[in-house]
Amino acid sequence: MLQLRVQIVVICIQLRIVFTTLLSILFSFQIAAATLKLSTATSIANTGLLSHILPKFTQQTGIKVDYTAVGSGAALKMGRQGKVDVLLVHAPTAKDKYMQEGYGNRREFIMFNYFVLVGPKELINSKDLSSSLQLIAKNELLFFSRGDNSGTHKKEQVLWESIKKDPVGELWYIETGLGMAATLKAADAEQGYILTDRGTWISTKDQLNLKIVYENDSQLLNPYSAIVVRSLKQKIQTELANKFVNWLLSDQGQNLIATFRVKQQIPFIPKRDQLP
Amino acid sequence: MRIRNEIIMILILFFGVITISYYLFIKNIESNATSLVSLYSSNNEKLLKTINLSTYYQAQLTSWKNILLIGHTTSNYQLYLSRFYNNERLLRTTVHELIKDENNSEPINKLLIELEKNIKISAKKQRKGLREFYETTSTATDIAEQFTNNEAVLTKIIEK
Repeated sequence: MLQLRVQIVVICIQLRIVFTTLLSILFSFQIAAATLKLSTATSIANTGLLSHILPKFTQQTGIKVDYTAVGSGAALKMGRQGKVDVLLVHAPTAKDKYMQEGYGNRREFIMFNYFVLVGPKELINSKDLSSSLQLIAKNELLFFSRGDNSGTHKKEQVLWESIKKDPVGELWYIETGLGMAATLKAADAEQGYILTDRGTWISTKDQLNLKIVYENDSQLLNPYSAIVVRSLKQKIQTELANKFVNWLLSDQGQNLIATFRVKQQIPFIPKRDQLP
Repeated sequence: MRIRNEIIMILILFFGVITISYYLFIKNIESNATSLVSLYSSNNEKLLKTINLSTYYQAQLTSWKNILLIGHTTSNYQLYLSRFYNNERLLRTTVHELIKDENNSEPINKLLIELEKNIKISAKKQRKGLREFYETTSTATDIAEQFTNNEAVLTKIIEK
C-alpha cells in the first residue's frame, strides 16, 4: 500500500515536471513570437518617430518591436539575409531592385517628406536643383556626402547622375561615412553644401550655421515604405510583420505620423495625405 | 716719369679688375653649388615623400577591406568607413598639393600625377564594391577579394 502511494506521488511529481516544462516552452515561444524584428532608416529613429509610434503599437497589439536603425542600404541587406521581419526604409530604386529579386512579400508606401539642399549661403544664378548642383561642381564648392549607401546617399547619387557628374574623387566632394546628423555637423564646420532629409534638418538646424539653399522640388521627394521580408533560409514572422504594416496604414498609425512634431514642425507626411 | 706713372696706374687697374672678376667668379660658383645642393636635396625629399605616399596608398587599399570584414555592426561600419574616407581625403589633398609645386622635376611630377589618377580609379572601384555588397547577398569576403587585388596592383607598379 505504502509502495503504491509512493509510486503515485513519484508519477505525480514527474507529470508536474513535464507539464511545467511544456508550459514554459510554450510560454517562451509565445514571447519570442510576439517580438517583431524591424530594421529602419536612421532618419525615422533619429527624429524620434519610432519612439512616438512603437509604444502605441505594442500597447494595442501586445507585439513588442525590436528595432535596428541603420542606413537604408544596410537595412535592405539585413532583409536579404533574413535577419529581420520587416523594413521601414527609403531609397526607391534600391527597394525596386530588392522586390524584383524576391526578398519582399509585400511593400506598402507609408509616408513621405522632402530632401533639402542646405549650405552656407544662397547659390547665385541657380534656377533649379540641377543648376544648383552644377554651380557647386563648376565652382568646386565643398559638398558633403554621407557616402554610406544610405537612402540619402543613394538619392544624392541619383541627383548627380541626372546632371551627368560623378563627383567621387574630386577634392571638393567630401564623404564622411557617418550618419546624417554627424555629416551635417561636418558640413557646418567647413561651411559646405549638403543634401539632407527634412526630419534630421529640423531636429539639428538650431545648432548649425547653415540654411536651406533649395527645396520644394519634385526631384527631392523622399518616400518611405514598409517591406515584409521574404526569406527561403530564415524563418520570418510574416503574420506579425503584416500586422505591423496594416497598423501603420490604419487610421491610428497614419494619425500618429501626422501628429508627430519635431520642434513644432512636421517631419513626415502620412500616405493618406497623398503626394501633391 | 709720366709714362712710368701711367704704366703703374694701368697695372693697378688691371690687377684690380682681375681680382674683382676672380672674386665674382668664385662667388658665382659657390652660389650655384649651394642652389644645386638645395635643388638636389629638395628633389630627394620630394621623391621620398612620393614613395611614402605610394606606400600609404597601398595600405589604404588594404584598409578598405576592414569596412566590410570588421564593420558588421552599425557603429563599426561607421568607424571604419569614416576612418577610410578621412585617410583617403588626406592622401588626395597631399598629392594634389605636391603636384602644384612648380619646382618639381619631371619624373617626380609624372609619379605624382600617376598616383593621383590611381587614387581616383580605386576610389570609384571601392564605392562600387560597397554598393554591390549592400545590393546583393555577396559576403564581405567575396566583395573584398573581388575589388582589391593588391598583388596585381603591386606587380604593375614594380613592372613600371
